[in-house]
Amino acid sequence: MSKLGQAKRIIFLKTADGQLFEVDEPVAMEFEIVKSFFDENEDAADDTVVPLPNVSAEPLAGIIEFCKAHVEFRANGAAGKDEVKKFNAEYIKEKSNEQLKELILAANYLNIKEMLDFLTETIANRLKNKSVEYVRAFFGIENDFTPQEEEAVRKEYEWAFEGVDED
Amino acid sequence: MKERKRGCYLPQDFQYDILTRLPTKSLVRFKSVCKQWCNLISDSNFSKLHLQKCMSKVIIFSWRREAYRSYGYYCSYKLDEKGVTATNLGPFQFPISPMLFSVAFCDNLMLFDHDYSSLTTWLSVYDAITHHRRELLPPLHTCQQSLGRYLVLVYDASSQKYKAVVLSFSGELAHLDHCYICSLGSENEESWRQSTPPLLQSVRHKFLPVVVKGILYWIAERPEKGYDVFVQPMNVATEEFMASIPVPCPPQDSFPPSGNYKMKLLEMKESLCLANPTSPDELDIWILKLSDESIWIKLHKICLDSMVNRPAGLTSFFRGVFLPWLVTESCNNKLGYMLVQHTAHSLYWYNLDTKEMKHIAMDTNQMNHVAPLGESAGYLMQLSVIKN
Repeated sequence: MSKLGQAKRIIFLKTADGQLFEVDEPVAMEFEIVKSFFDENEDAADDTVVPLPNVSAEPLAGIIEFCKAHVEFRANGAAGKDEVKKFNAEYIKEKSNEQLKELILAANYLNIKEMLDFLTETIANRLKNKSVEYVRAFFGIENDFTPQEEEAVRKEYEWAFEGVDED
Repeated sequence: MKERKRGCYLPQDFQYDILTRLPTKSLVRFKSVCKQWCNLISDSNFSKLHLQKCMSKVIIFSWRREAYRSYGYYCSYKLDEKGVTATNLGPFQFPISPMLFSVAFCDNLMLFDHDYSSLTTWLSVYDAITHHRRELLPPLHTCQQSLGRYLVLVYDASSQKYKAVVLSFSGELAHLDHCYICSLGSENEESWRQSTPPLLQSVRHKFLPVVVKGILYWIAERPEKGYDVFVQPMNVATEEFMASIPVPCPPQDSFPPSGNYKMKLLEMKESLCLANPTSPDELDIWILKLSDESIWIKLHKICLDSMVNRPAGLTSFFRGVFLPWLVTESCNNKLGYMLVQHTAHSLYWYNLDTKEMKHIAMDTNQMNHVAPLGESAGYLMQLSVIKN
């Protein structure tokens, strides 16, 4: 619990690569794993460092940025409005596929439902017009069809191969 | 390319979740990713789940019209996760008794005329999800010359903006005179651009346009050629008219032309489709192959005789109403549902594989509460599909 006169409580998070993050309480509480840490350790000291052994600094910084903005949107009653959509679109625009995957794994570990849903939808949108080869590379899937088998599957669904983005 | 070398990969749970969110076309293509995906996507449980997800993405706009008067009430409905029960999203009442000429829908947005008597504000954009309505300054020319008009609302993926299209027509034969287009954005950016259709065309009958892959299509007639029926395409991004496409099955009767108003354009497999009743108990669905030449291929034939759970009132594709609005396709080749309007106020899913009609339960009570059903009152249903 925050002490009297202390306006904002800061939560300390430590990533797998040893970086220490100082996060405002409402933002850190977006992470279900952090919330339950404090629920389970009610008498934890204010300067307790929460270890996050499965998250490294880069995705955590990205997640904090996203959650911070969304906590503010909710406080301003802007949830669901155009500015949120705008922020979300800007947020993912610069992210590479690799960064997206790291974000989704981290958001999954931290258990942030809303962000996880947004990231999954983003990936689906990014992949929907892509080629089979692109998707294989994205998920690291080996092609186990023989050339004849693959040809047969493709022929059957020829219409689905029209208008696909270049890799 | 550099991304492919390093990298973390997502566990299978994520793959499954991402797959259920993809459109049918992508799923069909991704069957050739690997054997496991092929089996998963072909699996009947997966395709049922996916199909249901598609069916639940439908939003229905329902317009109840008072007979002999041109004002009405709107309601929007969202289908439940199984796609068989429609929940009312709340009625929408017009600010003043509106005179209605035309309404247009795109995703969750609706564009309509709401006060014809006022020259400055007769267009409104309404959001069915947020219930937010705002006015749109109309193209000056059309309100000065009180012509008839049709409204269209389209999403232009290239500019990532919704575009309002006003088609103004005149005369007894409803000749299309001008086309006005405006990109929706902030109010001071909105201005109308004008173009003229390349062909003399009449748009007298039910104007139910469809957008497929960035092209807006509608059915029109060519008056000087013995009322030839054709499809007029327009590129939504460049706002240019494209060459007209003849229909695969020109109506038999020459004058007055009656065949085309029973025709209905649809989207299927990312292609333009045309539903056309050829006899009282047969309805053909054609698909347009745009890749090489514009050839229509007959995709389905729907027969009254073989229909399972046929509504009692549906006795003829000519006299009865059987208006297909959209098709949700399964990633299994055959399965798929067509959303069909039967009477003015009842909707069905027609299963393209089992030929079964499944009624969609709609709660119309709330609407009756807003405007009690008079003896002569009727519904006119307009549909829209939401994207996400």
